Amino acid sequence: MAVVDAQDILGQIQLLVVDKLQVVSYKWLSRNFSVSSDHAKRLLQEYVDKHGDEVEVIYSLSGWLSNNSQTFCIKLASSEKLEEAKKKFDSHCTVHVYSIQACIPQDLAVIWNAEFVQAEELFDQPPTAENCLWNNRFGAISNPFVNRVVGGKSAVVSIDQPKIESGIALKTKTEDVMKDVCLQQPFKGGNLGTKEDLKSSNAGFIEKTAQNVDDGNKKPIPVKESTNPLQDHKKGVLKDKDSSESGGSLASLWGRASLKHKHSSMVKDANSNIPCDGCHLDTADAQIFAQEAAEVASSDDDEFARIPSKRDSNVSGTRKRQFIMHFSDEDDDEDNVVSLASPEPANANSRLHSSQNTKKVNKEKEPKTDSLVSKKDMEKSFEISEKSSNASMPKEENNIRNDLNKTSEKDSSSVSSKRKKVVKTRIDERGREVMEVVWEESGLSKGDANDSPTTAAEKRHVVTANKDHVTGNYAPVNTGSKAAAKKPGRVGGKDSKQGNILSFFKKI
Amino acid sequence: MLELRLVQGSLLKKVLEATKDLVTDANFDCSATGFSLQAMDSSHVALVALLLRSEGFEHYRCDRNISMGMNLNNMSKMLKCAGNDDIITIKGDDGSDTVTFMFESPNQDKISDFEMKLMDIDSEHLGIPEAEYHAIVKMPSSEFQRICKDLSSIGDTVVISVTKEGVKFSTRGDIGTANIVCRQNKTVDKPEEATIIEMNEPVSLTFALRYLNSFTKATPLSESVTVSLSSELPVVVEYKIADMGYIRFYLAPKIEDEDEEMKS
Repeated sequence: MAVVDAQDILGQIQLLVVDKLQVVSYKWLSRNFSVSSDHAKRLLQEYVDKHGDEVEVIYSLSGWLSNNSQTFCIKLASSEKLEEAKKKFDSHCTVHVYSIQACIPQDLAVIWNAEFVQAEELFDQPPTAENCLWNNRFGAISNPFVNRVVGGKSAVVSIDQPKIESGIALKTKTEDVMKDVCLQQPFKGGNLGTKEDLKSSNAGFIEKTAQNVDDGNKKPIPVKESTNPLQDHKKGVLKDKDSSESGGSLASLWGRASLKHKHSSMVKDANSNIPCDGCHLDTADAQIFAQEAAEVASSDDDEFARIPSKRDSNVSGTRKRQFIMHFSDEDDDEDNVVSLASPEPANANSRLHSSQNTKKVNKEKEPKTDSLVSKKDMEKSFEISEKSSNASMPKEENNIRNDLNKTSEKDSSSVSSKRKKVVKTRIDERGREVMEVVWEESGLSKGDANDSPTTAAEKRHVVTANKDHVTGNYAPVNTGSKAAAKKPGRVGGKDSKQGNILSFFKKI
Repeated sequence: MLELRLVQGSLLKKVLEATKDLVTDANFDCSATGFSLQAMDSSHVALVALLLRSEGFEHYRCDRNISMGMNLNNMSKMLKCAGNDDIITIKGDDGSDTVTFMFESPNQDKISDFEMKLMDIDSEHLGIPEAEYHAIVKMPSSEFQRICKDLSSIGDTVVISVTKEGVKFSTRGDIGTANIVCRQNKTVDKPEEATIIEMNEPVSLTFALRYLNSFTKATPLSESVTVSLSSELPVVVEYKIADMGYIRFYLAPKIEDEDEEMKS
């Protein structure tokens, strides 16, 4: 990862905020400069300390509500309203700088527009490019069966990487009611991740995951471990934000956002805070998976039987991330280990998908009619909840958090050999996620040993990430939701692009 | 309380004809200084700014600043009911969600009242900085309209280049290319028919003809049009409205997509 001098970044922030009028959020910063989100938050704080009077600051608060101790809430507040917002929380709430900007935009979508464009770019990159979203470099939640080589670089996104964000679909006995939908591992930075849909009913597992996520959030700016993917997504106030990260067209984004509300209302237990934690559009997809799970419940065992296969492939000198899961639900003990690392689940996964929905797995840009339809159906059946992120959950999971703290911040892909199956996930121009399973030849994995292609790729990544925001007056940097919506429909080749009037005139 | 009496009612009719294709809903802002409108088209590519100064009205009363959201198509429907020589009075009450258009025929023998519902429009008001333009072309509005219309039958975009020689409009399409050069021409009988080019530095910009064509719907408002170009700014196409104001259209240029080149 590119190490950029802090002073340098502060200078860049100044440039972006003051000259380009861009909204700089810690998330954007983290991805753009490949620093951990904690570092990014500290940099923003530092900037605010120095130049606080020149910029508007939006803070993110999270904690337990004072009037309802059962509700964990994440809230964005501008600096003027910070004190007021704090009062709503009980004594200790976490406050960090969420974003800084020249002015509070009228259209709140602007706050996350930059991130959205960035995330979109990152996911447009080939999977061979080093990319903080692909390998979840700054992710806090990990899986014990995923190994990362510290400092190692890999030009190949091996099978385990893109497949880590899991939408775990759960079902109650009556198959038509979906009880829990949960994302377990926002592994890749959590946004547009590929999902591993675990077709098992394991409420306990999920509950713990949820709590874990939240505990992570409560930390007042953790020192070592980045909670980036967690905190990234818990914008209780601006829920729509989550989804705007991930999709293509804005219409579908709003659709997803509301889906998420519905989802959270539907979930009755601790999981209800998840939509703002682990996932963006994931809940929506998770629901699809859940439905699929209803139909393919029989294939559960296939997946879980193969789990430990990757366990021993630790190279010495690797640090392992650990995520300890406690299971309260004894019924499902046999399902309590999940491998995200071994290729087999990917197979199983893709098999599942292809049986359910072949278009989705194998063909890029092919309309995923089935899942879209099912998503809509689900959407209809859910109630809308206005609650932001709340959950009633026990506060007992500190051990998990501690474990998380110990885990390594650095990671790189685990190295596999010869031909490997690579699951590529991308967002097509209509905002849908397309999973593609391809075999990659060993020629590519040689890049693992060889540093130079990797660094080249990484540089490219940094350059492109910067590009959108640092160059080009015309780029729709600050143009709000509509610009984001328009962007996916780019014209190809050397066709000129219609400029946007908002790039020239500032809203007043 | 709002009461604006415009003797030349046809001006308002023409303004509506000029804007309604570009913008469907817009807020009309009334203040002591005048009656104005600023709105972007739905794709945020073009912006229309209208100003009718209070002095241009026979009677102008606006107690407090008020913003009235109107559907321009509906407003146009109502204004079409006014005769070309009618006097139009716009009336509004504080707190009311309607606006009344009153049309009086010139000899006062017919008075019509049309009440239109207002709407809440979330519009983004843009600050448009005063800018020095690299080139300012003033030409007969009918000529500009003709050029835009002709070129749009050949291609979708027009490159407007201003040099010392004159202003060149060029396009390219499937069937071929077209270039129209207008030279400076001050020696005409009527000043409105002159083509005057003020150029500080050469400039060349590409625009979508579709938008320019809808701008030229304002041609009836003025004999001449002013096109101001700068390489870093949207083009401004301005039609003066009698001596009471203007209607300005801003159009973002088409640009080479740098991102696209990077990726490919």
